[in-house]
Amino acid sequence: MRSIFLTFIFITTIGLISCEDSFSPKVIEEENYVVSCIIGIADTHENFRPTAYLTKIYDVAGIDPTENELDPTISGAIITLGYSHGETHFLDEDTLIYYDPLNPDSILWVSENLYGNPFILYKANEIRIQNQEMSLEINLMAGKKLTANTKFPRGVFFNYSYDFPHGVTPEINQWKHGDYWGIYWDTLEEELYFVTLILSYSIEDDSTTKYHEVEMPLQYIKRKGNQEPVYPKYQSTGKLEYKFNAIDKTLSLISDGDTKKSKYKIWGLEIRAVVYSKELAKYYSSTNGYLDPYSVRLDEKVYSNINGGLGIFGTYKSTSIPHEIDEDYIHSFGYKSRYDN
Amino acid sequence: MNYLNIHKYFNLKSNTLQVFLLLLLSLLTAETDNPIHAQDTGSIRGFISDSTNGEPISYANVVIRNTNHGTSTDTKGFYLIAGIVPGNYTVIVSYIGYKLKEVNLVIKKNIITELNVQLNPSSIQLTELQVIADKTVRRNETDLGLQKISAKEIEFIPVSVEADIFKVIQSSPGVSSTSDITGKYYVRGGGGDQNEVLLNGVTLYNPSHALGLFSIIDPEIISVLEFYKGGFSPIYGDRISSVLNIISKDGNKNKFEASAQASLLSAKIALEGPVPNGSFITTARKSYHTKILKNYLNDKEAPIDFYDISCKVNYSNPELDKGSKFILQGFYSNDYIDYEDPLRENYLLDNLLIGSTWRKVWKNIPLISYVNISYSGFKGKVMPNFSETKFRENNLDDFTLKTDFTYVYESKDELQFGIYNKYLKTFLTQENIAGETVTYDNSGWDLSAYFNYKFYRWEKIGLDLGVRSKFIALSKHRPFILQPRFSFTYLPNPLISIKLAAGIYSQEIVTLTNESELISVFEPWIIIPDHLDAPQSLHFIFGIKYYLTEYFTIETEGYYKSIYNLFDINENKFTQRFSDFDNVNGESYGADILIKYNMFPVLIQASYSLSWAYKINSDLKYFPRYDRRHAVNVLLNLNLGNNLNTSAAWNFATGMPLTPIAGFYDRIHNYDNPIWAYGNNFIPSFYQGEKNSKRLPEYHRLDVSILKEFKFSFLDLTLGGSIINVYNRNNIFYFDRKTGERVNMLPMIISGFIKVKI
Repeated sequence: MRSIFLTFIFITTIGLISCEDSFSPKVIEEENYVVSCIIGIADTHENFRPTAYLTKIYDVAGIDPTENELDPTISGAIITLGYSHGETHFLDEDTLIYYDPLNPDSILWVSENLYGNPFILYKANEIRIQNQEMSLEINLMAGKKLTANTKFPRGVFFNYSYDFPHGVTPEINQWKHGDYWGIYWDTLEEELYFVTLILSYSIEDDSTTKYHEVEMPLQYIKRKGNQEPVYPKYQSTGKLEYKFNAIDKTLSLISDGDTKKSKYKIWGLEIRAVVYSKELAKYYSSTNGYLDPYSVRLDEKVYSNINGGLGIFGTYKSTSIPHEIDEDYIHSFGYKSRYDN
Repeated sequence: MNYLNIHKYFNLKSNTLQVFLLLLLSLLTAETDNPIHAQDTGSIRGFISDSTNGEPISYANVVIRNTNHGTSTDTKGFYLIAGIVPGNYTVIVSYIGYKLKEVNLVIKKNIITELNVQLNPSSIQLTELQVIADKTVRRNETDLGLQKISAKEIEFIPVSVEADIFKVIQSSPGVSSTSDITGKYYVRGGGGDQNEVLLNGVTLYNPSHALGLFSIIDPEIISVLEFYKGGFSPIYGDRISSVLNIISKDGNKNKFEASAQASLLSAKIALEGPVPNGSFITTARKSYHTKILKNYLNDKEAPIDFYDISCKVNYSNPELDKGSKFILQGFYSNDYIDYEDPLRENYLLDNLLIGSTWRKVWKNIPLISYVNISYSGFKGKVMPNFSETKFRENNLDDFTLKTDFTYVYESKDELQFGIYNKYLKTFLTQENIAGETVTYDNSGWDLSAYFNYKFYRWEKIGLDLGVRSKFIALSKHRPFILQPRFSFTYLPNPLISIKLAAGIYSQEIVTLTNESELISVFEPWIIIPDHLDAPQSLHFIFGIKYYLTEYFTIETEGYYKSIYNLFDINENKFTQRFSDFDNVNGESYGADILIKYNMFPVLIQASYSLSWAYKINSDLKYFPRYDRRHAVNVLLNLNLGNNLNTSAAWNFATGMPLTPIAGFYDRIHNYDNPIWAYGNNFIPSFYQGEKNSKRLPEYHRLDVSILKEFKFSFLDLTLGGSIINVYNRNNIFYFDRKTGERVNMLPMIISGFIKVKI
């Protein structure tokens, strides 16, 4: 009897002390505002159209922010965007609801935010691109003011391990020039680059032509018995090297299983580069920082350049450089080149 | 405090330093005029060892009957008693677990009598609890901050996977850990890399297996551990927080022995035996089944593979050189993770240690010397292959030549001095989180000398005055040249000892450890970069030890530690423009109490720690992650007879600091596209509040273990089992910073092992 009693006491004690703490890691701060303003430009454009999205921080019952149902969008702010030595522009509040121009009462399309509501954005019409620092100033109805600064990144200029006079082809002296096509560019401290090589081709079927694009991998690696492609990532270095056998394989794969090679027309390659401003580069680093799958990091700050609040005000610039593919090389696959009928 | 300020700080103290040095020099001069051989007294010295295997017995008591002469052996089993008036005496040698031995001898004037004694293990079970005796002959020993841990005590701690010295250390008062799943420990508010781990005096730079889960030191090779939690003597000078000195066994001098052991994780073998004029011991351990580690890691399928090999050979030939002993040791450990997948990263970590020691007991002079030459290397590499993991590589080469001398005066005083000569090279290249490749390639020479004068002449007082001088430093912004150390013991009555210790310590090699990394796979070592100052610390410790009975002691220690120029990750670095690392300061203070009852068949050890630890950045004073206000550790060991032993360990600690979630917001992430292109351009995220400003709930855990030995005519068989976290407490480990998910520490784990010895 005594042993049963003691066992009962023991089990009860264990049951009591092993309960999981209902611990909350939250200490919610006072109202705070979040700015998302990222301006993208292309080197072929002279103007840009800025948009800014303004929200506030929120709380949820638990610690899963996806459970939030209250739209944190802030409207009624006065936002100005200006160059340090130039003009200033107001960003007007607007919803992203597109009406049928022929029937103004009919909604064609609504761009919704995470909460199923139309995006409320602040936007301006064409603003001329200038190589100057830009400042963003947000005056909220509550009297709070948020500010931030950024500058457009400069463009990139590419150099190559081999300048193909008649288009890209592996039919070069690879002992001398390497088994890859190297694409190089000068980098600037604190900028981030995302560069890809895109193959454009079309498939002609009867009277229809379908246009396709495929990203060229840097190389194929053997993994668990299969060949798997490796693609470029965001990088701060100015170098990409595409293995010729990866270009071979990619060209071959677009018609894999199809015996009618002649219906494939290769239009060429295009280097697409995106250069991120130093603010966006910092933001990327702080949100994508990754060492390895084992390290557990806490307390890493997400970069913010918004004075008086949270978020990011940054810019990026896109550049595209087309490249021909050698016609003989294209024909070796049975495909047509852009110059073939 | 920056570099200039700390020098100003120390300059303010220069008067004190001068007085201290003058005092030391005058004492040395006064004493060295009167060496033992010039007096009308004699001495005895020798080694105390185990009769069954010849292993030295550390901390054995050696007393001369009807006199006030007595001492304890050091970690090599050596003792020396000087200043004995010539005559006939009986020397009594004793140690818990062994039969007391009495030896009659004649002490002659100006003669050092050699007396080596072998003790026989006691068959009485009373003594089988081989915990190191707290009751030593020399109660005025200046050992504040030192904890002596025997190999047997390591066995008492219930094990999760493998018996581990770090788990023993972590349960020591004043020591904290940030999780169940790391061997990393923090001593009295110091950082993880401020703890030196020595194997027979040689530094081990990466003492962990399996991504830091447990120690690379196989407990089978351990003879004794000396753990200095602060206030340590000038013999040690490479770290600013603690020193763990692992003394390994010499090997059985009488017969060959082999043992094999298998646990749920690894298998190991040990071989030891005599060689002409010496002995050897060699062990090897290899992981073979790492499924049990799935409780420990983010990646449950991690193909962890590790092994370690150690060997030690002793040679002592009186015909070649009486009084000399030569020791060769080697140690190699290797951890490798290979997914055999080009889209996954590989890891390689290894340690190589080679060392030789020449120990000389000088003829007719009460002097013992050690000359040690060693190489300790560490290599760590993270090979990303085609994964997102960052490439990192670290190589460290440490060549050390050091000499240590201990001279014993007639008055019982001791003079310790030595020279320390180290060439160190560190190379690190790594891609940091910002995607930038950083290389640190440094080498340097550290030339230091130390003097430590131990006053044992007064029965009620023990006093150490010492200084360590760094003549040549590794780092550009070197630490202060003189580092005085002081330790004092006063016995107001035979049952109480009051102790004080203080010292200045420095460190010139650090790990690039981000405190925010709860689990850190790769902690590379580098010499302090040129743009940063070397960390230094000041220790002040006060303690009282009360001997309630021969088997029951209460020990309290209070401490204050001030740390300057800590090496810390620059959390505001987002691009190359900023340095990866920064100097910050630190401060810690607290008190520990340890109650120990050791009377067969029960050992009870209970401790309580109260502590505060801070890091002080230029604009912020905050609690580091390892700061824990209250901690209680209770260890109960019960010998049930018939070679059956049980243990229970309960650990309690108040919560670790946590940076709270200060709110949630929708963070833009897919910024290549216009904001409005997709709703999923935004990720609901949380943002952090003030650093470490909140506390996790209390941590507590109960572990139990049982050990049964079967003795057969041809072999000894040991079966062991443990249950970790008996009541399956869900102790919070962390909240995932991306998902907010709560991650708990270890659940209940049952493990066991089998050991065969022939």
